[in-house]
Amino acid sequence: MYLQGNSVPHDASSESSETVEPTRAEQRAAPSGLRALYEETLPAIYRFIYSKVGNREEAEDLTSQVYLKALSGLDQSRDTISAQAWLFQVARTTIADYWRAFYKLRASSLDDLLAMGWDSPTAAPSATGNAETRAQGILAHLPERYRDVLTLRFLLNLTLKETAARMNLSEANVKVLQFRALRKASQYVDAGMGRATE
Amino acid sequence: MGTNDQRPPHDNESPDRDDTAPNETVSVERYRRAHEVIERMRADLRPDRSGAHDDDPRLDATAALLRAAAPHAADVDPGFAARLLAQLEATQAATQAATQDSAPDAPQPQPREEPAASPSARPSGVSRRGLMLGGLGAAAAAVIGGAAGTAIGRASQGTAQGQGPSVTPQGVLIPDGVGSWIAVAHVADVPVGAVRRFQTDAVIGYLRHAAEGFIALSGVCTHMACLLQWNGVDRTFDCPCHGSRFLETGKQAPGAPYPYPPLPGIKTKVENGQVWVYVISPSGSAPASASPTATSNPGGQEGYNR
Repeated sequence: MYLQGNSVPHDASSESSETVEPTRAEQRAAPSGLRALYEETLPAIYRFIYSKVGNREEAEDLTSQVYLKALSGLDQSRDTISAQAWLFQVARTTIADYWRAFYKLRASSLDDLLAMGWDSPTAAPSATGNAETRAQGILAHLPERYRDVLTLRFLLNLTLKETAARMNLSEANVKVLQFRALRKASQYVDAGMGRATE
Repeated sequence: MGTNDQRPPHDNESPDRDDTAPNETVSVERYRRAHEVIERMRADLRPDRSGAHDDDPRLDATAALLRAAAPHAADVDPGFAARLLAQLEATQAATQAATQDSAPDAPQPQPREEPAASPSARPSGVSRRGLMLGGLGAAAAAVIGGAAGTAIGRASQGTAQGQGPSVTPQGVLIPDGVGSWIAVAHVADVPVGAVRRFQTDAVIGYLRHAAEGFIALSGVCTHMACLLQWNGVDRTFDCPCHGSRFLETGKQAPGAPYPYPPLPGIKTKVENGQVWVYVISPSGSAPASASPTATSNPGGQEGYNR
């Protein structure tokens, strides 16, 4: 997303945006508020939701829910930045409701949600957007074999059989290893790394 | 990973510390469940989250994050993006139309919708919206159908089956008062037994000449709002996206891969030798009298199209 003005080497007068020409975001939003906002925000919102559910089917379903819920507010909100922040907010509550329904978490389950990697409403969207970076950070904390099995299974998207061959293990052993690796990795998902005890 | 090739699997590890051997404290069921979740995510399908115990939710969340880090896994599918946008715009338009219907004196700003005078029977089946999105999906044309069909679908999926006071067993797409009649076919062109696709500004549907009269159904799948194809051999409406199939009555075909609601109906009438359907009209104006075979007005009222 654009934070217009920051990277442009304008002179200092461009700081006062109301006196200069329309910003890029304003120009973009002008022709069609909903469409422009949608096209601007969809990749980040979808990516965020996908990083919580891990599959396209649920990600598309929840993304649809988020935008349909947000539609009335999108009409009123012309500012792309604030609209995006609001969409993230709707996305978080939608995901939280989804987890609660599926996992039958306790009614006051904020701790459970946080432990699952749900981001608190005050978390900055930028801190949640990049699954690749977070995944790398988590993998870096793991013992080598755990890191390997998760890399092969998730990042390289190999089958159980291929993974077993690459690691010189039986398929049954890979099943056990990937479970333990996931379990270990889950300790690093919440609250930004490094908290779990080795 | 290269280092793994240099060591045997059990090197330097006593059997009781072997990280690949099952142990007593973790049931085999949990290994199986984790594996199935991983496989579902790799296939980009909804995993079974119902049997989660202990810290399974956390494992699922971790798997999701790792899955999202796979190259291009979390990229938006263009077809989905087009469908959702169409759905949003349709919902917005329907809201505006309903507002206008209740307050006819107040002129509503309608920057993106044009008057209902064009049935817009394009041979290609691709609407202007679809074209504007670079042809990302003809589904973009399925505006109201997508919105209403999916909304009805979710309502009846999420709650008990006896959902509300629907007019017919499968509900109607456009309730009284918010739409208008548009002619979509000459009676003579649709003999008994025939099924014809029709398209208006806001609705794509199918018209069937049944023994009891003309039946119109939404042409948008109630599962994920893809456009249905008429299958004349099996006489079903088939969804190209996920395999939903509907009987010609609109009901879910036997052997469906997952549950989904029936297709909403659209009211029809015969008048002046033509078949009319009751659909949403963005302007809420009087019934359009355009010829069913008209190719709409390519020149005018394209203000929102750049």
